[in-house]
Amino acid sequence: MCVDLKNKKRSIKMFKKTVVCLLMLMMLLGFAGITQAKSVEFWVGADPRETAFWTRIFTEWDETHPDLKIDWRPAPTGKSGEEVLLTAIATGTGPDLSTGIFAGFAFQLMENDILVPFNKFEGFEELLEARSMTNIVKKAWGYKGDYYVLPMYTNPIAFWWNKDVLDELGIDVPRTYSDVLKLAALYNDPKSGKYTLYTRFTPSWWHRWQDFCAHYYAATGGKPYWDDQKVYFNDENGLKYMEFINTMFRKEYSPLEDIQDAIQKGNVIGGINKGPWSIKPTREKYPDFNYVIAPPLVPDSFPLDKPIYTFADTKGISMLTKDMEKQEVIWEFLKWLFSDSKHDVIWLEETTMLPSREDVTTNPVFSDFLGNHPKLAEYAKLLPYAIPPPLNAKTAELQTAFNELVWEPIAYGKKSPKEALADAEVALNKILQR
Amino acid sequence: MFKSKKNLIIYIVLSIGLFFTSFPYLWMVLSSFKVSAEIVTRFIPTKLTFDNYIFVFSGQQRNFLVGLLNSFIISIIPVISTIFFSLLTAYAFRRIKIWGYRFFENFVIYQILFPQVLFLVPLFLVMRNLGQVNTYGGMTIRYLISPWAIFIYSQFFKTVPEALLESARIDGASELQIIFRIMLPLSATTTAIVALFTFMARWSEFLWPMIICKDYAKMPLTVLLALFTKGDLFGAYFGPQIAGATLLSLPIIILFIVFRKYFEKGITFTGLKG
Amino acid sequence: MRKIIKVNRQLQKNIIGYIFSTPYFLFTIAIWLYPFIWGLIISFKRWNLISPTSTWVGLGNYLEVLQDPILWVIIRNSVYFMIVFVGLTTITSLGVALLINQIPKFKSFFVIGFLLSFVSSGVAYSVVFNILFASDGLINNILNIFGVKVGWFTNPSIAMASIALVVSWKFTGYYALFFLSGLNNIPKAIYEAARIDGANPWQSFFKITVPLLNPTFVMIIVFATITSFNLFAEPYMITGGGPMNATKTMMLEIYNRVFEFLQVGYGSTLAIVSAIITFIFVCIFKKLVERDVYV
Repeated sequence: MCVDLKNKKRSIKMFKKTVVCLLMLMMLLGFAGITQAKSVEFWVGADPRETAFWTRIFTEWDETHPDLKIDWRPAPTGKSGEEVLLTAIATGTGPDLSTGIFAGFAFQLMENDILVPFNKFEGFEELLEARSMTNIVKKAWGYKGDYYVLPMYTNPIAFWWNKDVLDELGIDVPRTYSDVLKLAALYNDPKSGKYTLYTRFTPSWWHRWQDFCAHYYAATGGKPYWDDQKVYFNDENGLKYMEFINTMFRKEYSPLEDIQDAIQKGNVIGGINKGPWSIKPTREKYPDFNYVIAPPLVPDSFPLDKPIYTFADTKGISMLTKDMEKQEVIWEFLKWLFSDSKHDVIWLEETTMLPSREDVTTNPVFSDFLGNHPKLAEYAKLLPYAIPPPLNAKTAELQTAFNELVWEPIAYGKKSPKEALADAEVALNKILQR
Repeated sequence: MFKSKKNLIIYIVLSIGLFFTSFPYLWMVLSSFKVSAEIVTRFIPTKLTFDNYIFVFSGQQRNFLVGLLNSFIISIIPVISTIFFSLLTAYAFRRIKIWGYRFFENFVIYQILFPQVLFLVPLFLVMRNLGQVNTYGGMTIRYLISPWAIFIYSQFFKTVPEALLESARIDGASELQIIFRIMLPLSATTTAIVALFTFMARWSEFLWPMIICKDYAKMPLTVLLALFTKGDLFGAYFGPQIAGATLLSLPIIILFIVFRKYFEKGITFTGLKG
Repeated sequence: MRKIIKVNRQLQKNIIGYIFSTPYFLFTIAIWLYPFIWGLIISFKRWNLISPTSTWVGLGNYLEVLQDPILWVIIRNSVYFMIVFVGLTTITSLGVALLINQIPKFKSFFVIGFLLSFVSSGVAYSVVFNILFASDGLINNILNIFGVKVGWFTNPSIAMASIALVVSWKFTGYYALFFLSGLNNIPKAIYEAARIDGANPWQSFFKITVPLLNPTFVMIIVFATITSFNLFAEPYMITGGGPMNATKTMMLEIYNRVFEFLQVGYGSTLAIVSAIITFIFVCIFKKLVERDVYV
C-alpha cells in the first residue's frame, strides 16, 4: 500500500510535468507574437506599383538616413484597405504610419482618437508650401484647424471612350445622357457582345465613387451628396442619373456580367471604371488602343459653358503612433519625402497617378513626364475640377447601404429609381442620425 | 444472367456518378498544370506547365509553402493536445467515475451540440486581450481540448472491461500508467479516428484563423488562398488559385486514402450518436 | 479498517480523477463559459472595438436586428438553401446508397470514392467551383454548345441554389454513408414478408424503406438547418453575399458587421439571434419530419 502511494505520487508529478511542458511549448509558439518592435512600422498599399515606388524611395532614405529606421511593408489584404487597418488597430497590431487614408476614413479614425495631427509639428506650413499643396490640404483635409492626412495622390475620375469606334460611327465624344442613348441605338448589340457603357454593378462600396458620386458632382457643379447630418442625393439630379442608369441596364446597353478589360477589347465603347493607374498596363497590353479621356456625363439640360466637375479619388498618409520618438522619426521622413519634387516624379513614373500638388501642370519638373504621357496630361487638366468625397466617418456604411437600396436593385431591375432613392434617403438619414 | 445484368447497370450508373463527383478534383489537379488560357476552355491540357506553382511558391508576402507549414502547425498541435487531454478526462469520467461524472458527461454532449456562432465574437475579444492576435496560440488555444473527442473516448472506455484495469492496478500500475501504457494502445482505432478528424477539421478551417491572424508569415493556407483569391490583385489569376486549391486539398486527400478505413468508421460513428 | 481503506482509496481516485479533468474544467470555464457570458453581455451594448468605452443600450440591438430587413432576407436565403440542399442530397445520397447496397463487390471502393468530396476544404472547392461555373467558365462553355447560358452565381434568383448545389456535392458521399447504415439496419425479413404479400419494388420502397429511414432523414434535415445558417466559406469565396444579398448568410452578416464595420455589440446580438432562430427552425423541421417508426 505504501508502494502504491509512492507510485501514485510519482505519476502525479510526472503528469504535472507533462502538462507544464505542453503549456510552455504552446506559450512559446503563441507568445512568439509578442515582440516589441522599436522601429517605425509603415504600411503602404499592396499594389505592386506603389510597392515599386516605395522601394525606390526607401533605397534613398536608408542611404541618407541610416539611423532613422523605418520598417515598411505592404498592408495585409482584406476586403478593403480600411477594414484591414481598422481591424489591425482594434487588435493592437496596427502600424505607426499608413497610406491609403481618404478624408472620411481619417475622420472616422480621428473621432476615435487614433490619428496624430500633423500641424502640431514644427515646419508644417513649410512642408505644405514646399510641395505646393497648401490650398489642397487646407480646403479639404482639415477638421477644425487640425490636419491629420497628407494627401499622396489625386486621381480625377473620368471616362475612357474608344476613339476608333466613335470615329467609325462618326460621333463625337458623348457629353450628356442622351448622347449615350443615341450612341447605344447605333452600336449596341448584346448578342455579339457589343455593349455601350461599362457600368459597374458589383457592390463594393467604393465603386460608387466612380459612378454615382462623380456624376452627382458633375450634375450639381460640385455640391456634396451628403454631409454628416443628412443626404441630398434624392433630388432631380440624383433621379435623372439613376433613371439613366436604369435605362442602360434595362435596355442592355450595359452588360450585367463582368468582362475583363471591356473597353479595351471593344465590348463597350466607354466606361468610367478606369483611372490614371490603368494607363501603363493598357499601354503594355493594348498598345494599339485608341482612346480619349472625358469628364463624367451631364444631364441634357446642363449649360454648355459651365465646367463639369468630377470626383477626386484621393488618399494620403496618416500617423497613428503616440510614441514621441517614433513621431519624430516619422516627421523627419515626411518632411524629406514631400519637400523634394523629384520624389513626386518617381511617383509618376512608378504609378502613373497624379501627385496631390497644385503645380502638376505648371512645374517644369513634371513637364517631361506629362509630355510622354498625354493621357495623364488630360487627367491633370481635370485636377482643378476634381472634388474629394465629403467628410464623413460613416462613408463605408453609407455607401454599402446605398448599394443595397439603390444600385443593386436598379441594376437587377427590382425597383424604380424614384422608389430606390426615396428608400435610400430614409435609411441613410437614419444611419447618419445614429 | 438477369441478376448480373442488373448489377452491371448499377455499376455503370455508379461509375458515372463517381466520375461526376470526382470531376471537380480531376479538373482541379489537371488545371493546376495548365496554361492560363486553357483553364476554362479545355478539360485536357495541350501542354503542361509548372508556372502556377512557381508563382505561388515565390510570392514575397504570400508564399504558399509557408502557408502549408502553418496549416500543418495549427492542425497537429490540437491533435496532440486533444488526444492527451481528452483521454485523461474521458478516463476520469468513465472509469474513475469521479463524483458528478454523469452530469459532466451530459454536459460534454451539450457542449458538442452548442451553437458555435455564439463564441465567435467573445473568443476573438478574449484572444485580443491575451495578446494572441496574429499568433499560433490565438489560432489553436480554443481547440486544445475537444468535447467531441472526450465523448468518443468515453464511448470507447465503456467497452473496456473493468477486470483489465483491476489486474493492472493489482500489478501496481498507477492510473497514469494505465492510461498511457494500456488504454492508449488499446484505443488505437479510436485514437486514429480522433486524430484524423481533428486534423482534418483544423486543416480545413477558415473563418477562425482568418479572424485571428492577418500576418502572412503565420496564416494557414486556407486563409492565404482565400485572401489571394478575393484580393484585388490576383482575383483573375485562376492558374495560381487552382494550384493553391490543389496544394490545400492534396495532403488531406492522401491522408484520407491511406486511412480510409478509419474515416469511414468515424463517420458512421458520428451518425449513430444523433 | 477495511471500510476506511476503501473510502480512502475512493477519495484518492476521485482526487486523481479531478486532477486529470482539471484541464478540461479550466478550458470549459475560460474558453466556453466566460466567453458565452461575455457575448451575452456585449449584445446589450454598443461598442466599436477601438474606443475604450462602450454604451449600454439594453434591448436596443435586438430591436434593431428584428427590424432590419436583412434579417428576413437571410432567413429567406437559408430556407431556400435548405430546400434545395435537402432535396438534392436526398436524391443523390439516397440513390447512391441504394445502388451501393445492391452491388456484391467493390462496395468500399465506391463508398470511398464518393466520400472523397467530403474531405475537401471549403476554401479549396469554392475556388474550383467559382472558376468552373463562372460566366465564361467550363460548364457554361459546354452548355453554350446547346445554346444555354446559366448565370449560376450572377443571377440573384438561382445564386443560392447554386451554392446549395456546391455544398451538396460535398455531402453526397457523407450522407450516403448514413443512408447505407440506415439501410443496413432494416431487417431483410421485412422485405421478404412484403414480397410474399405481393408488394412490388416501388411499394416496398415507399412503404418500408422510406419510413424506416426516417431517423436518417431527420438527422440530415437538422444538419442542413445548422449548416445553412453557419455557411460562410462558400458564400464568402464565391459570391461575397451577392448578388443583391441573394447568398447572404447569417455568418457572413455577423462577420461583416463585426470585422468590417466594427459593430461588436450588434454582431454579438446577431449571433444570439442566429442561434435562437436556428434552434426554432430545427424544432419546427423535426416536428414536421420526425415520425415514430415501429419495426
